[in-house]
Amino acid sequence: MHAITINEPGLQSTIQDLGRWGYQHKGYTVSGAMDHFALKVANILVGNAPGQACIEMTFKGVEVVFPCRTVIAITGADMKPSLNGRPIDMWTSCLVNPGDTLRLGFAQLGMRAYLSVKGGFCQEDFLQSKSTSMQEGSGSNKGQALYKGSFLPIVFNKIPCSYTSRRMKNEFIPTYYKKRNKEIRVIEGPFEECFTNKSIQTFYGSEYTVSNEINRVGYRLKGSSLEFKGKVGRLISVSMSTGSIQVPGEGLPIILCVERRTHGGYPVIATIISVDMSKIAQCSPGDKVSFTKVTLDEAHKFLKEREDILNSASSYEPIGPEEKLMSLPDMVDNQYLQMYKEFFE
Amino acid sequence: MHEDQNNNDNKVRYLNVGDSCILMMLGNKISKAMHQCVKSCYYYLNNHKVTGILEVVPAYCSIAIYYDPLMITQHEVVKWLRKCENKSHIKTENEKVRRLHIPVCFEGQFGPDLKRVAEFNGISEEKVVEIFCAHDYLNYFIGFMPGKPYLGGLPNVLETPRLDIPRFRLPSGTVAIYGKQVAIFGIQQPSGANCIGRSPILIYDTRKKDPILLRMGDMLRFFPISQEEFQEISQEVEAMEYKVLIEFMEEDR
Repeated sequence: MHAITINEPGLQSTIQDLGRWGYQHKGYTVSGAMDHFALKVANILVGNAPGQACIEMTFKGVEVVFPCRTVIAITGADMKPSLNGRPIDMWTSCLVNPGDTLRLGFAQLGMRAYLSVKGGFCQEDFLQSKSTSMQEGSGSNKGQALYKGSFLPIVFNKIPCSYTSRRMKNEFIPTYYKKRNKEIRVIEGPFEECFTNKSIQTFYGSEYTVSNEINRVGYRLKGSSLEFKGKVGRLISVSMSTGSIQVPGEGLPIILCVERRTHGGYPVIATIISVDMSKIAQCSPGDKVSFTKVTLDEAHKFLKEREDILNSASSYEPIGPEEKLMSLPDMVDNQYLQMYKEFFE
Repeated sequence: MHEDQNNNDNKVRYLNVGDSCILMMLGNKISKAMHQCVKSCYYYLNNHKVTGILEVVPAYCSIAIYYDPLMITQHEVVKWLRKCENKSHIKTENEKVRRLHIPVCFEGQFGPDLKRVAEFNGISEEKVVEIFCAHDYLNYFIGFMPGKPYLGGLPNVLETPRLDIPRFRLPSGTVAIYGKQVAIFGIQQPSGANCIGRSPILIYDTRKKDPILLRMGDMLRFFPISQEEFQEISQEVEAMEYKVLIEFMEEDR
């Protein structure tokens, strides 16, 4: 068994894929990665299926040691990754050797980064997924965040004798901003009619600030408060979607995220389109957002465009000289590891 | 049970929730008739799934349909949904309704708010337990957290407002009432509901292959047990030996 050793777990690092679909009728949250785009790119760069599980890191990244030769990639928020002390690039696949230490720091811009490993992580599926829900205590790693000293088994791959890194072309890599206003596109409703016209105008016309109360369940916003038409502040409970902006009694919006409860009864003024949930995932406290209406057709067009970018070979490019590798024994135990290190040092 | 027939006559509304979910609104009132309608549609949709549908999630008077817009258009989803609009009268495959008998200890520390409920409604604590245990509670659907039922059917004489200050933590098994709602907790949680008793059974038991005991459409009937019985049943539950008594009944339509 080949296992990554977690030297430093970061602030909140969990294993996530695209979530557990098909179990909300039993009350299980969907969970999964907050930023689907970054997760998919991380996988594609190492040759995985786009939806395989990665380590999602929040604000501060992990320090890990690799047990075997493999390929990794880090996407999302720039956490200044380094391999054995030498800086490596984000959004780029990278070869690692047995005993290599990968270290990530604090997110410079953005909030969440994804670490993929070729072949993926060996974790038992729960509800046909490897996603973790810390709220429920279910999923990978017994529903817990990674902790110091834990071992994370990975799939062992034979890496060919030469390897060329690949990266996502610059033009496709999202830019994260600090503080500066982010335009978040939404589709109106489904319960816009619960709000006064003035409140609807306020919602689209003003700027909201991401508060300190943010997690994978939801983002509480600060800004102008919204009023309900009449006294309707609560609906008959319905199933709630990720991206829905619900407004509880005090009038300040909450963006529902991937670990939202399955049902809820607060009126939803608007729902963020799928592609822009990646922007929300990268927002940190103090960031400014404002909301713009788009049509359903536009939202689907944006999603299609993003999917085309992900799946198109021309979105990625090879970099650097091909690395010629010394052949490594398939099974690497400590003895080999020692020999290998001596050879290189 | 046709108390709200005209619910079925309401026009079904389809609301877009973002770009990958449609909320099918079948009505706007909680009733048994509406529940039957939701249940029939829900089963119909689940049994006639088409490519691109991720998940179908029922609630009181609505069904949420999650879809992958890269695989199916919104228009196609709505077309598919319209097929079940007139199917709500269809009986769901001879399905029998389950009535589960849930043991509850209402004594002492297990029912800290029993007194409050009794005083609020001007009846004795014994009477509260008697009335509470004489009725069936319909589980409209499961949601919010794993295994949590949305129970209805609380007699008017027991309706009690929430506590002003929520309790920090109520243990799993807590049986509580708030407003017209009845709750039984699968995991410990903070709550402002009136805790009238506690059941030794687990409605969410992660040791089991299917950890979730209850289903949509189940009837729950509570029966009182003593503190000694609570301890005994707790031990049996711990050893995974306790079997909840389940009756199968003809669907009440």
